Amino acid sequence: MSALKADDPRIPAIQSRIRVVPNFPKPGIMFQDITTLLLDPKVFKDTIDLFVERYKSKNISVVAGIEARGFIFGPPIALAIGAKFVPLRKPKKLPGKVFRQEYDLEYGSDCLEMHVGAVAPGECALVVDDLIATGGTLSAAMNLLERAGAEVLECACVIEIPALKGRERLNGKPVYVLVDSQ
Amino acid sequence: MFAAENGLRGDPRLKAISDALSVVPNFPKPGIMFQDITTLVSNHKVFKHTVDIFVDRYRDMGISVVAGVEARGFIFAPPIALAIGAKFIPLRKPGKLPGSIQMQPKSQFYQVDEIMNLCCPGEVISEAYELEYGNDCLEMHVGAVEQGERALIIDDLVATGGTLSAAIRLLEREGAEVVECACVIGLPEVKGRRLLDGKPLYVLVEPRQ
Repeated sequence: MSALKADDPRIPAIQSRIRVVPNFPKPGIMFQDITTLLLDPKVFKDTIDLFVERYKSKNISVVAGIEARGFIFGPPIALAIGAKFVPLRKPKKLPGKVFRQEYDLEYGSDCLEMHVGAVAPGECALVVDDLIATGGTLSAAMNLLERAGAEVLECACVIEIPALKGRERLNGKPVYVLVDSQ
Repeated sequence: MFAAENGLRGDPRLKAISDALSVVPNFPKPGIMFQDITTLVSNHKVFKHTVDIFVDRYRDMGISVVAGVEARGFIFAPPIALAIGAKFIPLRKPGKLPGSIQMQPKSQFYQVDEIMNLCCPGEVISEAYELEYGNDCLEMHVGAVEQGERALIIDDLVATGGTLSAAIRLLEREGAEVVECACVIGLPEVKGRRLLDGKPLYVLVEPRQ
């Protein structure tokens, strides 16, 4: 999907502002670090603008952001398009009643939670995270929203690691990505 | 200092912000009345009011850095940074920033910058702070701020000020000047206090009962 944005003049700067950190969090992983993007106000703004331009007329009422880097990109998009922001969190962080969704990791499993009552049935939702890798976390996020009766329009990420084929885990739900990993 | 005492007395947005908070008793443990901001950010109008109040206050202060404390500070700080044209710096739990060494058991900590190779991309500095029982740690990337930059620190809530104090130390170690710390909610410990570790503290509302 990144090919569709190849002509946008803002994309090269976004790509160049992502720092690759070798062997983090463990040997063999080339970590895609977005913190350097956040240090450039113009490039951070361009990143948000690209998402806002895509989603502002789509009647999205919910932007769900995945803890923790999804909390950085989700709220500015939500505020700009007039949607509520819903945090999807690691276990035991959200107080009160929650929906809970487990998902597989390379070794073991993890869990994502959403408040009961955060979204109403029929709401149109966007899921935001910094990056799609295997698609496990995004898939769990979509499940949470769908269990609450929302319709997930799309998942939005700054970066995709195409080799990990995350799109295939999303049951045909589209993913909009700005750049591929380096 | 609270916003109501600092130019916003009677501002209807402050009441809307207070009303949008939820209180959850006995979370995360018995005796704590947890101030939940998720109902605030779930209300677009009130979330926007919250950001607008901070943006109006800070847009002309020459601030080039907005640092947000993980994780709820990540919800409020980036919109403020974007609106005032500042960079956003995440202050993170140990081991999360790329380049950081994974921390060992929670009761131990060590100064990451004493160990990391200076040429290593993503070098991280670390500050410990006290919890009720034990310690925790906050980390920041080396090189994220430049000497003399004016910085704002954002979190959702201030209680004892331990986390914010660690945040102030991180930014000052890298040569930034912390202009103010700002939170949506301030617990009774900070009522009547204008300063935290010598830095101005700005808070929008008191805890919801």
